[in-house]
Amino acid sequence: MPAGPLQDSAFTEGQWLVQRGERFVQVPELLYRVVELADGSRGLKEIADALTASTRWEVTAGDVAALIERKLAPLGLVEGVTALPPRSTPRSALLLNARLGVLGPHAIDRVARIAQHLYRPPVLIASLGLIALSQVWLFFGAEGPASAGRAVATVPTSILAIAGLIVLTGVVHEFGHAAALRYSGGRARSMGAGLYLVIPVFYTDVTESYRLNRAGRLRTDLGGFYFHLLAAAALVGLYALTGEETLLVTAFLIDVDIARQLIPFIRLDGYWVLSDLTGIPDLFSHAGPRLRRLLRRPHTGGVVPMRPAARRLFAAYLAVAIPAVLALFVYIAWHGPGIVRAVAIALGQRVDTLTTALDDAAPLLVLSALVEMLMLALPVAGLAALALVLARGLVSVLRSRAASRRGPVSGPLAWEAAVANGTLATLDPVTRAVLELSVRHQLSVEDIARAAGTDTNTVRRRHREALAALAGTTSSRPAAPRDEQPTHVAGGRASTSPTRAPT
Amino acid sequence: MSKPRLTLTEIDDQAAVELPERHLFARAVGAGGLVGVGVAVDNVNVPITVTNNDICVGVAAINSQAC
Repeated sequence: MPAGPLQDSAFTEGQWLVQRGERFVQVPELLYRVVELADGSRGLKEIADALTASTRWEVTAGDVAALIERKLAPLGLVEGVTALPPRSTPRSALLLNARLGVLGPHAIDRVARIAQHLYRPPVLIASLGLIALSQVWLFFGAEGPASAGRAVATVPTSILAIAGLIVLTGVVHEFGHAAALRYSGGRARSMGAGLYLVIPVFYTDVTESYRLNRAGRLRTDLGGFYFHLLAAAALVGLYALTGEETLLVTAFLIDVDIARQLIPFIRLDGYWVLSDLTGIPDLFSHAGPRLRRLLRRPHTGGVVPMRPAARRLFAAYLAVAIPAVLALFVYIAWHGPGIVRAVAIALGQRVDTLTTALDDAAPLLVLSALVEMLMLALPVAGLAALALVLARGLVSVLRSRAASRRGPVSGPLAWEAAVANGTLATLDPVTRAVLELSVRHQLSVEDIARAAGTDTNTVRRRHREALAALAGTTSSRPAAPRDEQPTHVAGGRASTSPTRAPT
Repeated sequence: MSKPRLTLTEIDDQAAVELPERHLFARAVGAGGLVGVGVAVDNVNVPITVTNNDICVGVAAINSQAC
């Protein structure tokens, strides 16, 4: 479904958004117009005529067919001739896993539509002043977080209070995102808990923020910090009234958490802030095609050209982010067994504590031990989830490589090789369409003829030409450039003109 | 003035990028690093009457060393 322009982006040409289910796909204007027009009421010729009228190109029906089959159908944005399911990509390890939704959009909106008023400029300015005062007092005016931490460490059940406050302020953080999105004109879709890498997290689904302008996206990204710091200010105020050190310690832990969240190399809040500051809607999604092109690997996604300043900034970011992410995974893999071992030992000690507390009928100590055991177990669960995602990704890569070793002219990889080698650019649209349907979608000549509404002899001839071109791909011999062959299209089905024989 | 034909190269260059869902996070577990952070930041000497268990929670989370 067309979803409007991608606002304030870093790309040289305007980009647009198409919604597919719960997600968005960023597309250039030409593809967007095809999606808009391909609503089932128009044939290929009508779509081509409309595109010719509204874009800077003269577009033929064959071009529309190629755009649909090559670009839109594989992404599931428009149904192609073959109506095959769109290609699926393995889930990234750098996305949220083991997700458990707790609140739906209506429940979130009940709070967000009130809390959004904290973003009105006069309220925002006053709140930021309050936050600044509380932070100064936290570090310079009170006994200090280290001293409070010492005091808290000697009270075994204090972990209960701190854990509870961390959870409560975490929820406040999430409503900060939801309220910011509401203020900017969007709606949060869900809120819940999950595992990100090895970290147990609360999350808010703010996917709708892709539709916003830069200011709206940044407001949504930073809204969590804003609300979290307001919560910290409240805790500092309560500490000033009560002298309860767990409040001060929790306020300090909120600062530590915000500092960690600013890390831009994994998809935490700081990553999205950087994405939106640069105008690149998701840094990692755009890194893949660029890296594949750099490494001269076949790819079908294409590279979206960026403005020069954005391109330089993006290159600098990748130069730091890629080693950082690799180092993180190496660290997790290296220390993973040691962490599991230490957690197992600590859990064993907690079981002893729990047993003693049960014998002594001390409910607070029982609860404290259980909370500690949960806090120890959750990162290990995160490790397991991450290992599973990485294993799935590895299996997917190995399957692709095995498929490519089975034969030179085989399915999607031969197609991708043809794309990378430039072979496809030398073929006319009809031959290309036949090539794709036979090689990529594994259809017989008879099926293609039926789908195209033409005779099998014509398709067979085109098929021979296509395979000859592809054989040139597999022998790494570059094909000579050819003049383009205009495609005669009638009634929305591709057919060859008897007066224009292919060269 | 007639418009230029859409070339096959331009068709191939139409780049679509699937964007992931946007999830903004807050850490659900943070207190486990409490004591570890306090020890690391302030080089605190913990009285021997304190059970080691509370320190273990923080230290285990920080550097995976068992107590």
